[in-house]
Amino acid sequence: MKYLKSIFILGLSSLALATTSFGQDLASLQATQLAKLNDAVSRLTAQRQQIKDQQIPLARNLRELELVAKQQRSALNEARKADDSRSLDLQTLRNNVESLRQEYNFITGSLLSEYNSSYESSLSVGELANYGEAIRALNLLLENPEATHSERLQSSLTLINGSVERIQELLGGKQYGGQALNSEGRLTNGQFLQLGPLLYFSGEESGIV
Amino acid sequence: MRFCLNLNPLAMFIHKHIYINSFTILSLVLSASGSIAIESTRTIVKEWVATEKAISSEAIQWEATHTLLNDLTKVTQAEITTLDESLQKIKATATDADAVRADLVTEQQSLNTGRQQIAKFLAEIEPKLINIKSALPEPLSIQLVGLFQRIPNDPENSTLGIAERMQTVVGILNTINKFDRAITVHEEIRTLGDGSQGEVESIYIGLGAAYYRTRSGDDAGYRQADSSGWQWISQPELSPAIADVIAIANNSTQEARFITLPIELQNERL
Repeated sequence: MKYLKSIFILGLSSLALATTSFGQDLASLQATQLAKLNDAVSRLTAQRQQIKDQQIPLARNLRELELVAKQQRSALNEARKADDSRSLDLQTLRNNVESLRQEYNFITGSLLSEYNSSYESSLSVGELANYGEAIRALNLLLENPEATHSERLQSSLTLINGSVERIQELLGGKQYGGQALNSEGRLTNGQFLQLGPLLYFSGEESGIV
Repeated sequence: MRFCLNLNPLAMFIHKHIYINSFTILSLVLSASGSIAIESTRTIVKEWVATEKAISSEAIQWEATHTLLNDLTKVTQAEITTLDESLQKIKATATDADAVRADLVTEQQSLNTGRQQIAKFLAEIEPKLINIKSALPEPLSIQLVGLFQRIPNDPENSTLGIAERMQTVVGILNTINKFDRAITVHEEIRTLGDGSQGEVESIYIGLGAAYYRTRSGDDAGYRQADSSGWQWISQPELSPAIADVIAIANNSTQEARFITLPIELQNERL
């Protein structure tokens, strides 16, 4: 019985010793690991704060830049649309002006100019004193760089109008006053009779025909 | 404490089991206490590992995110620069285009003013030409049929362009002027002095005078202009003279010379 009791006490003591030693090691390990954990948590927290401190300004800056870029893209799109529309309008305007210019140049530079030349050559010697003056005035105006397009055009149109009146006068022959050189080379007043290409002159002085 | 030893076997058996059971229970208690502490430590270790992993992975992730943010910022800045340049180019182009447009608009206004001037002139001169038409000699009227047909009846609503209309006007005037500068011999059918229809040869001295003669020479005459047009006046005795004039005009047998023929001019016979 004593033997059993001793064994019991001895076992109990060994167990207690073992338990105490193991508990001390475990507690130490646990404390070490806890310290490590705490340190790690602190570092993680600090790192997260550092990341946050850096990330927020960067992200904000990027957002602001993206907003600016978006506005710029929108502005560029609007500007392009406006530019396309403007280009289209300008091209339409250019075509319109070119068409008007061609028409105007054809009328003034070709039709009226050629008519004025042929009209001058169709005048008889007797008519040159009257109609010739209008043609000379027109030619001077056409050569005058200060004359406006409107003035030049009006002058050409007036000449054509005059040519129509002349035709009306020529129908059935035309008699009009004028001057012609006599046989002595002196200007003499008299009357012209114009029948188509035929031109007769009757001077006021007797015997001059 | 006093132990009372009892040599009773039953008592010994009982004590023995008490010791064994106590030892076992104590061992179990101690063992359970150690397991809890180990588990707790294990949990701490696991948390520490997880935290370290988090530190590492978040650092790596932040590095990537940081790089990404920087790259995106650079790209966006470059895009803004490009957009700015494009906008500036468009603005510069727009400024140039505005200057061109202003010039074109000014020219357009000037050309439109000229157009209106021409259109107004045409609206006035076309009726005058139509009025002249009935007074023109027949050969000339025949020449001008096509051109007169091109004169619009309603200038205000005409689809013809002013260039085309002006071309018609100038064409008519040129043709009339050309006719006036020439002597034209023309064969035609007309009412003779006795009222019958016959073929005659007419000679037109421009717009000024005209004479006719039948081929047989039994009728001849001249044309007299009045406000309503031309009237043919029969005067058969002029037949030889008119025949001579036609022959000279045709350059057939006669040499050019003065031949006396009547003409009515403003109701005066010269």
